[in-house]
Amino acid sequence: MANKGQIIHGYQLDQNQTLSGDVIVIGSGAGGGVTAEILSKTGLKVILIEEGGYKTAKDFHMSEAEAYTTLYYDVASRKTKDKAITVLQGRTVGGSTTVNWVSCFRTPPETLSHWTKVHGLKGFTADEMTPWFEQMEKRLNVAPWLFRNANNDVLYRGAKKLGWHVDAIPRNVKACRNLGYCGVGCPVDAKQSMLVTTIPAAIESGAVLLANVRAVALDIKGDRVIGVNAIALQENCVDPTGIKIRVEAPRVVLAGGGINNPALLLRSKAPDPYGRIGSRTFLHVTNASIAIMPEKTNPFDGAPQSVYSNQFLYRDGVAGKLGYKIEIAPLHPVSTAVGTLSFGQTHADSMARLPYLSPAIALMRDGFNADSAGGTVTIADDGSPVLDYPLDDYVWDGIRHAYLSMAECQFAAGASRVAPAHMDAPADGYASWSETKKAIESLPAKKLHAQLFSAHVMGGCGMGEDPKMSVVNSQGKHHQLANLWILDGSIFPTSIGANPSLSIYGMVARQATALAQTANGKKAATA
Amino acid sequence: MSRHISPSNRAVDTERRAFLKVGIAGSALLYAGRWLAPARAADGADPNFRLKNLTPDDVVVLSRVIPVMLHGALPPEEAPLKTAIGEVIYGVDLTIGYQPPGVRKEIRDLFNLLNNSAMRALVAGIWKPWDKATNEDIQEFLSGWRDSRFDLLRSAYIGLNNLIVGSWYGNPRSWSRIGYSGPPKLA
Repeated sequence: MANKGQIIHGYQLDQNQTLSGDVIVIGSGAGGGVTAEILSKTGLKVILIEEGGYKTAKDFHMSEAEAYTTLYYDVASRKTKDKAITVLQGRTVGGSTTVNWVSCFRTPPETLSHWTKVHGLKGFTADEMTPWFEQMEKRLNVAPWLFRNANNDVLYRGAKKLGWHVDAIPRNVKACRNLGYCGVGCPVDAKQSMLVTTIPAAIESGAVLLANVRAVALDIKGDRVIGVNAIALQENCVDPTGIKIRVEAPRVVLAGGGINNPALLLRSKAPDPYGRIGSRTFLHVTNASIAIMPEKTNPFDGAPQSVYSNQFLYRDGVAGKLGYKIEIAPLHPVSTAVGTLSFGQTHADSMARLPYLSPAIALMRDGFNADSAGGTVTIADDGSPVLDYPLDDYVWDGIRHAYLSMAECQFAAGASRVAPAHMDAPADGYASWSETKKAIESLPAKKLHAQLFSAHVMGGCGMGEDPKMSVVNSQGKHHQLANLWILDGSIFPTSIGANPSLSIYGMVARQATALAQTANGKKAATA
Repeated sequence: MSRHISPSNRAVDTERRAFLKVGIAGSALLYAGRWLAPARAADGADPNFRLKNLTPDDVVVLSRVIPVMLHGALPPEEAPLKTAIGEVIYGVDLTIGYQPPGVRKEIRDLFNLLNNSAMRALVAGIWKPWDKATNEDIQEFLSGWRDSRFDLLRSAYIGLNNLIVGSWYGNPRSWSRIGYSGPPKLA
């Protein structure tokens, strides 16, 4: 057996370091966690680099103030360039899997088929992918969650009443206590995130985890990455301590997500002959509709997401008008407050309604249409990522359609009033479906009026077999750099059309297994 | 009615004049704050707080904006109100420390702009020093930015709103009023 690995906290280092191993994995979220476990278990020495801190259940106190500052990028308010969309992205060991709402969906067959036909991917038919989804569902204890809290029951009742599709959400939990605090870190280790599954297993098999360490640039010579230059960060995971870390290995895997991977490649001046790095970065642009219910919903209580509706996911086919998935969001005091953009007594009154609110959300399935090219990641003067995400008529059409559907569903479920999350709608919304419908039809389709967010970042280093159109091939191997792989959601050629965690787990399990075989073969040959 | 109409016209006018004055590129507005960094020495800070990111001038601005932004949500009695405002300021300061340098710079620019008397008047429509501004003046400023035609002012309002309301509602003292009893006890 390999010797047990270790966890190194960047902020504790007082001297510059040099480390070496068999494979460097940059990022410890869904992609990096799965990669680290699979490679480590075959005997490869993995060095896992994570910008966030190593925080575990004992650090999770179900506190928004604590969690948003320490576990998320930019205090859970990372913004697109024009500040029109708030991006919720984890920055901690386990990445977003540590703070997500645990909803696990297999990649829809429509998405896989589109990737195969339009983007020329190999190995991505539903038949080929199913065993990998099954493997990861088993690994992470994914199963449909059959308890609906009052908040999710609003979507369930409304959809049933209207005859819409509605179903239970599979969740990656074990002995879940239905607390409702998934978004701020599970305090009882019920959530089967990378933090408690693949990463401890990788360390057990010899992996070294560098927490509070930021990969600044890949050191590229010819067609190879010869090392990674990193810096140690203070406990706030933002400011450098001044300590430098050099890591070297024959192979490097990027798994920092759709915003950080392109930025790292751009900072490293990686070869990009066709200008693909950072292009086609996708969000599931998400809008919301807030129902005020006659009975208490206590939207902070119980599993945050347990039902979904795909009624409008393919409202105009796979490549037609923008479709969306409808789900429920949990609400806690801070998330409610920052999503309420009035002030004074109006804001105070909105907050006092918290126990009666039920927010529906609609996740736009971007990237399947010629008019739907998503966003672009570039780097600012200081090397930090900038995501420009223009919102065109194609996207606005989906957003307006979703405001209407969500309100209709909420009134069908018995809402007293419904307020579209839009700065030009009254804080306490409208009293009837007909009034709401009329109002939504005239709400301005404008950024910084409609309130938009996304918890899902995909693409930016797209997969494909044609190097002119993509950054990596179907195995996640970089087209130009011989020893670089990218294994996470950033290689999706489009958005997913569902919460993407299981899509990442399943795809990366397959790609990392192939990478392990290649790496071990080479290692044996040179031994 | 005219009382209500004229201030909003004034807000539009001040925005327009501000843009003409500040310059050519629309996005120059917040950057302008950088050149107007407070020249005053950082003295007079409340000794109760060791603020890392906010200056004494920022504290003056926040001490006036917070009670208006959170009107109806803060305790009405003078002493608890003062304590609550101090806690909100402390939370804002703490939050800024977790933002990346780019966002910190934007927040700095925003406060520098609000701290500068000429910019405060032209862009925020507050013609008196902050400690003399009435609640109505500040409501006018917040509405003007919130409903502005300019994306930059709208996003600055959202930034200010999120810093302040995020800080207060992260504080357990805010919870009983909104029917939230805090996280469950883990037995």
